[in-house]
Amino acid sequence: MSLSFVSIGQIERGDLRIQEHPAEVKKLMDGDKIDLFEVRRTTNFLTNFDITEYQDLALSKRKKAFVRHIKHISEKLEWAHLNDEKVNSELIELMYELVFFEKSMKEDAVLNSLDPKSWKVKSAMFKSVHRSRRIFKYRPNHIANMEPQESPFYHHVPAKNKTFDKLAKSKKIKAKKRMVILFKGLSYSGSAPKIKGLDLDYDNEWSLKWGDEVHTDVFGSRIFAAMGYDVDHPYYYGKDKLTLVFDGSRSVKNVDQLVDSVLLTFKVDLEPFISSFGEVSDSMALEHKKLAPYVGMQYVRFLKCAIEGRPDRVKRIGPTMPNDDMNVDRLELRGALLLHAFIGNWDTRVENTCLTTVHDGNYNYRMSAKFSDLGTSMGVKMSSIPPDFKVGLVNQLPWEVFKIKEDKIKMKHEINSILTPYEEASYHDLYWMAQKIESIDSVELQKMINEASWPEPISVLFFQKMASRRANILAAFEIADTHPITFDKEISVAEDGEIIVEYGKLVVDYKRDENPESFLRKKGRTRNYGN
Amino acid sequence: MAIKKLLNIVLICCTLNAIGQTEIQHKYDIKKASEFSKFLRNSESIDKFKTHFHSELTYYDLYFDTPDLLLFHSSLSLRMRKKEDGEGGYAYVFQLKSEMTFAQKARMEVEERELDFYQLKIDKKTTHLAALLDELFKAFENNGNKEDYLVYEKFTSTISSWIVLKAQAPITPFQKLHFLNPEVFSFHTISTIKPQMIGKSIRKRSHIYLSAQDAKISNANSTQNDLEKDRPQFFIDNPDKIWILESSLDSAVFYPLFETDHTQSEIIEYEVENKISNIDLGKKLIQEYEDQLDSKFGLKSTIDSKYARSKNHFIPSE
Repeated sequence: MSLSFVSIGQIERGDLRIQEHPAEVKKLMDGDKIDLFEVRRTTNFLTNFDITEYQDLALSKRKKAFVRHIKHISEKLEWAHLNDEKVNSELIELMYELVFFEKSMKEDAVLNSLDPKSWKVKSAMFKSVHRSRRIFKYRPNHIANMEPQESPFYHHVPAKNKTFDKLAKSKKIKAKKRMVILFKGLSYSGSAPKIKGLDLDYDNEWSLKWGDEVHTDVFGSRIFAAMGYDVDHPYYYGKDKLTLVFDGSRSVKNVDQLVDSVLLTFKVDLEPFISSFGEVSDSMALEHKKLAPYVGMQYVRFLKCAIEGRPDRVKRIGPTMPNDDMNVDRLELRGALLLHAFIGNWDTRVENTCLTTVHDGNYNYRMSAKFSDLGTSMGVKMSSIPPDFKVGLVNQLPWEVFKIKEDKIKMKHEINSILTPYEEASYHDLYWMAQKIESIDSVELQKMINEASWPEPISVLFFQKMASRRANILAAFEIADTHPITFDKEISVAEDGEIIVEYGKLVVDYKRDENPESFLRKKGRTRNYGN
Repeated sequence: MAIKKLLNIVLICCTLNAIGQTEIQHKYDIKKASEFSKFLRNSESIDKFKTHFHSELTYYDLYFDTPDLLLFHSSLSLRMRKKEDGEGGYAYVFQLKSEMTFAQKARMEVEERELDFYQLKIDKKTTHLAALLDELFKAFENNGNKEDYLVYEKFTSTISSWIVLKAQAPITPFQKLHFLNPEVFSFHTISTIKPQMIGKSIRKRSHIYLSAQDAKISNANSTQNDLEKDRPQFFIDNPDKIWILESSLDSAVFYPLFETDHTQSEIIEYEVENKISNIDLGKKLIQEYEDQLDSKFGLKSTIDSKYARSKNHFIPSE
């Protein structure tokens, strides 16, 4: 039997099996044969558009590509059953995939039903943040050679910036140097202001964001991709590089309505981020032929923003269920704790993991598990009273990740959700990730910093800090650095005679008119996890 | 049976609004069919409505029902279709549709695509459902005496066996039937579904569009965002032309796969489908287009599907 997941283009799906099959997988077997009744119960749940609820909770709308993916799996299992085949490793992999998707869909329904502003949710976050300050302590011990098996969670890739681009290419994401995005609708999730848009090729949907995450998300996603994880694909756009067009058919028809809507939804004033606005002119249409039908309609351009690909080839199903028994022992998930700490990512909630179906072309589908929303990083300031939350504050990002003592190391990192793999991560697990972080060299780190497009002095300071944090991690785990990256904790940067960075600290609210979010001012947003 | 039929129609009409798997379609009989065919083929205009003839495609259909015609009595039709994809290849689909009503010109439609990965065995050899349909329609094309349905027996019985196996499998039309009425369409009943008629249609397809100026006057210039992915190349190349409707003129002939005194059923029908996201505006534009065509070619609105028409032809008492 030839199965599509074994080799698909350049990315393989990898294996899902764990040592002891979970009960849900065993249920799909009848001895050494397939239990068709149980398989059909699962495939029907996953594919039947008329099943709209799980335990009275609304299920997200099924995507057609996902349904096709499941039907491919279903038919392979049905055919094996018809031919009275014994279950083998390939069939068991298919069963795992069904179980993963079923659990993910159900957990998605549960998570969607939660009110992020509820006391219960906020209280859990508060407790996690405080607990995370004290529990990540490790005593060095014997290290065995470890490398996780290739799986939908992890692929062994070179620690290079271009890994991110390869991933994007496999998903048919094309971010051009100048983008024209059509306004599609408001987005109500998360705390950073964002909307939904479409590019003029109509192939891809994009999420357009403003504020303090436009640099951090770009950097965080590239680091995670370089370490072998699947990620979202955010791109930074500077002044006037992106045009948002209102075609008049949506609820928001012009810049004023956009500003009002974002203020109402996210309590964020978009006006300081706006560079220019007006009507699409004939000359603009000459520049972009596809703008012709939109001449006379409203547009707006920004000082800075980021867009994140929502490619047609990738369908989001639900969380990757890191807390499930099927996943808690995965080295690649446990080790990810150190990677979160490396970039200082705070929002580690299960909602920021995402199980997806990737269409690799020719009706070949592949399951992939990714980390989403890595932008709450690179210097986080959170305050409960008054409620406030801000990211990307370079001075808030410590120079070290670990406090190193004689007999133990303590990770200085706060997170708002201690997922089970992070809770159970051992010295071994983090050591594995530390080795991977060691493989990031100076050139690749610089490339990733450059992609984030921070203003020069901020960029220089972030580079120094990330090099320092990398060196500190390697020292904590006593890993020899094969290509040390030099850094200077006392670095100063001047521009036109003005000191911008002094002794390793940003001292000027740098070009505030060009950077309305500010890299110095700690006041941020209040929505959702801003307490 | 009449009460049962009425109940089923009510159930399906109620479901139409709830499930959202609908399309706004209008169907017509054409008095001056030959003139109208020329009008479309020559991409002519009528008032502000411009037509762009873009393809003539051949479709082959195999319609299904239970032995006691429960689908027909429930105002549903179920078919496997082989259709030219316009790019030199063929696509195969398994579709369940509801009948239209005059009050609600929307049809529920669900379908199973990619029939090429469903495997079955014929003469102890493994084949795919799409390949089997291919063989069947080839046999149909080559059959000198189209009324001799026994020619197709080998294929239709294999497909019937596949349905027995798959009645409870995640096949969208079966899932939908069971959802619509689990009592009437129990898994057992679904497993009794068999091929009932076979036929072929020649479909002349045209885009109906407005100039950017007329679209602006009609407020239709900015209502296409939901459909970008399906936008035909013609409109990508001509962004000043605003796609509002898709239309097809079908010349079809069907033959029964059971004993009946009536032979073939011939149908000529014109179908128009809304292509803009503002449904109310789409309905209004269809009405305007219909009025224009009626005055020139004589249109009569109809609602029956090809299956219902043919069934009424083959079994008039039903």
